[in-house]
Amino acid sequence: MVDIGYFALCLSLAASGYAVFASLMGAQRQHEGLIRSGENAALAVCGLYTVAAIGLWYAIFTKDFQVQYVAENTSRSQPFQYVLASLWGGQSGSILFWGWVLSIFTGATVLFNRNRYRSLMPYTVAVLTGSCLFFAVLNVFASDPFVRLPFTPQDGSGLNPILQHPYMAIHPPLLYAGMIGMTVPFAFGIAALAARQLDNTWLRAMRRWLLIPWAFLGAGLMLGGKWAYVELGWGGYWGWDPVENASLMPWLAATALLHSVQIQERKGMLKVWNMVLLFFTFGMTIFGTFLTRSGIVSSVHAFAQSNIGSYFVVYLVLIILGSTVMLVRRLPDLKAENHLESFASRESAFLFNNWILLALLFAVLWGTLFPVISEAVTGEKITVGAPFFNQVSIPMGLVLIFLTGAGPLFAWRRTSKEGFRRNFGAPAIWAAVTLIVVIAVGVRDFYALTSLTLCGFVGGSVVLEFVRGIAARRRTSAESVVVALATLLAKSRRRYGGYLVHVAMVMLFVGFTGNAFSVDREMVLQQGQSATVDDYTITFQTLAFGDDDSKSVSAAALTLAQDGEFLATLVPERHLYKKAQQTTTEVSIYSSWFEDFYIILVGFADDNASAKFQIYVNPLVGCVWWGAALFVVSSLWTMWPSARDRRMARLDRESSRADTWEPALSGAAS
Amino acid sequence: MKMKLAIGSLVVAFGVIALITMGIRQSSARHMTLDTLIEQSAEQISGRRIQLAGCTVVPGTIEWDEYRHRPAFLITDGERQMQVRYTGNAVLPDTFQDRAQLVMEGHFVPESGRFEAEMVMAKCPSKYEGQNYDEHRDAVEAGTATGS
Repeated sequence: MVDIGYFALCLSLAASGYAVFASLMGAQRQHEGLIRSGENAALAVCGLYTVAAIGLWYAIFTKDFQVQYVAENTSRSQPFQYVLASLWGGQSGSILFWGWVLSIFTGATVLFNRNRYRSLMPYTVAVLTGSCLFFAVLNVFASDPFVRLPFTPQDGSGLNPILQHPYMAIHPPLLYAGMIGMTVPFAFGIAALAARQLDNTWLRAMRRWLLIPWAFLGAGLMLGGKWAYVELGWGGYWGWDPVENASLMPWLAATALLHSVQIQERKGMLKVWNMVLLFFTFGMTIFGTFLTRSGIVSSVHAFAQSNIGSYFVVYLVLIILGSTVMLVRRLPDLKAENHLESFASRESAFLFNNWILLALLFAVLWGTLFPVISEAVTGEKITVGAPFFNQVSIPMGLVLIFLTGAGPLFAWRRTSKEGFRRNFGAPAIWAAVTLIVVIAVGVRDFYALTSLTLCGFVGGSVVLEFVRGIAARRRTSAESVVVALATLLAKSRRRYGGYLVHVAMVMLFVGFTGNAFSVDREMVLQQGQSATVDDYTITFQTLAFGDDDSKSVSAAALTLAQDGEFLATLVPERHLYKKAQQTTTEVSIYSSWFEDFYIILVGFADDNASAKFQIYVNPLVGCVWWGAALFVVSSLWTMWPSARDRRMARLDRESSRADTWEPALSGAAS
Repeated sequence: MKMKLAIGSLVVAFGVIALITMGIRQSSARHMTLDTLIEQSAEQISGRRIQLAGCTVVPGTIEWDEYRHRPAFLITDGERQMQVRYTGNAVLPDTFQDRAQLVMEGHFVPESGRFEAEMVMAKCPSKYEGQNYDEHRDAVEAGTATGS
């Protein structure tokens, strides 16, 4: 199986090379047969990569320790579900996984668009299989997962125990899918430039394929946060580590693009900007990967520093040069059809949203690269930590959340004074009421007050949009409120699904604001002794010890009560993994609807009579997880094709069938 | 409108730059390795926040306090050694152990010659990337090459 896997990998390298060649030749000679052949080769790449991945999985599953990758990343005692995760747990395996997921995206793009976007597809396929080619080259020449050792070790060294967690088994694939999926919208952008088809058709294709990785990336980020929260035991979920930043940056760029694309669709403006933003989004995914794999910035996430960094530099340079040349050649075709007419317009709000998102991205990038930049400029390597990122991102985040609410309240082109009053009145009242309530509850922190007030404002704005939509439906038909709401959500998915994403953002921001009120205590308790934290009473009952094949466990049992009422028994633990001789902390969390009580067993005295605990009370943290869940559901809802989308898709199909190939393709060949 | 746009973008740009400069002034740390830290004169580094990297824990030197919370330990870069005391609040990461590679933030105290770390990040590459067989393999291959 290992040899079959390696062979499939080599074949997929050849097949993707052929797919690039056939697609480009087919496009240039307008040869339908060659184009189809290129598409079929792309499907073959997908199949071959799947075989290669199964080959490695098989080796991992059968514990074939002669394969170096298997020996390094799995072990006999590793539980079954994490055996799966070993596929992407190490360097060469993760590159193989990357290529495999990319080939799946490529295959899906081909299959979904067999009869659509015909003049774009050859170039799209060429770009996609070109990227597959890059990863196949990486795998075969620089980082081969199928290398055999000259001897067979008795047992492998296993996956790091702290990575053996359900969230950690889903988080990397989601993040990978998000990063990799950005290749598809990028390919459509390049194709539109190459085929000189710069109308709204490619924009629709691009937007749909952008939403998918955007949602994946968002979900991956949140799951990573959840994992850090429940597993790492420092009471938080986001630490501004370079690796986290590397996946946040493309998400920010994609968010900006998703908004500004709407201006182009409606008004034919910002064409160059959107194209640049699209290239930038994709570039950030590759740059982020380079950043985390090359070891130019130090991070807790220890990817092995390796020789593949230089490959990524070459790839990145190719991408930047290629896309710049294409863009410059087509600049005359990208003239704006309209101009910005007023500051108080939807267009300006979107533009401003773009600026802030990119400014935030830039600040994150600057902070991440600051050690490198400062060393180059002053010779002294200066690093910045989480306080820097918080300080910079909080004000920008507040402006962003304000725009989330304000954007939809502005009319396209310009907002009249009267319209301004009509639209902003209700949300402003919501904001004022929120402010009063929050002050009455006793909040005095400036940022927290601002954030919650703005959240009230956005909430008001979204409710207003829904109320108006429902009222409009009920004027024309005798629907009940519930039916009207359901039809709104079902029929205008983009619009109302988008508002649901905004609600998710509000929930996330409320959750983030909770950090302003979190309590952090450290205490030593004798067995039987009680202590109070906030309005909780915690009593240390006893210590217990246990042992199984892979680890020994020490656990403390504590009872948690609030206002004299028993809530739960908490059992924070420490595990010692025998093989790795590594201890892990297992936190214990009591979640109420308002806040989390989070406790860690730090350690205990030699006579077991007393133990030390670290306790965090994190208000509103639940909003982060619920907001994240709503984000995923509503963004999926937004991208699910509605009846109208299917009609548009049919139009795209018909128009591309009616078109002869010549006009579009002769443009490309010239 | 062009003028207004230009002003708007300038305001955003200026705001961002101001935020970044302020942020950097308040929370920056100087990145050093053990040899550069030892070479520096005391007044140059006392009171400055330092990020110390490129060192590992000397095996067997970790001395935990009673509750296994704040250890004192020796670090080395292969040649030099230095005493470190952890003064932070957070529980040390699970990867902190003998031979772990450390990145620490804190201050150097010239009087005691000790580094007081407020934040410790630890990674052990031999665990993340599994045990490394590269050297082993090279040795075996070199062995067969000379043997034949």
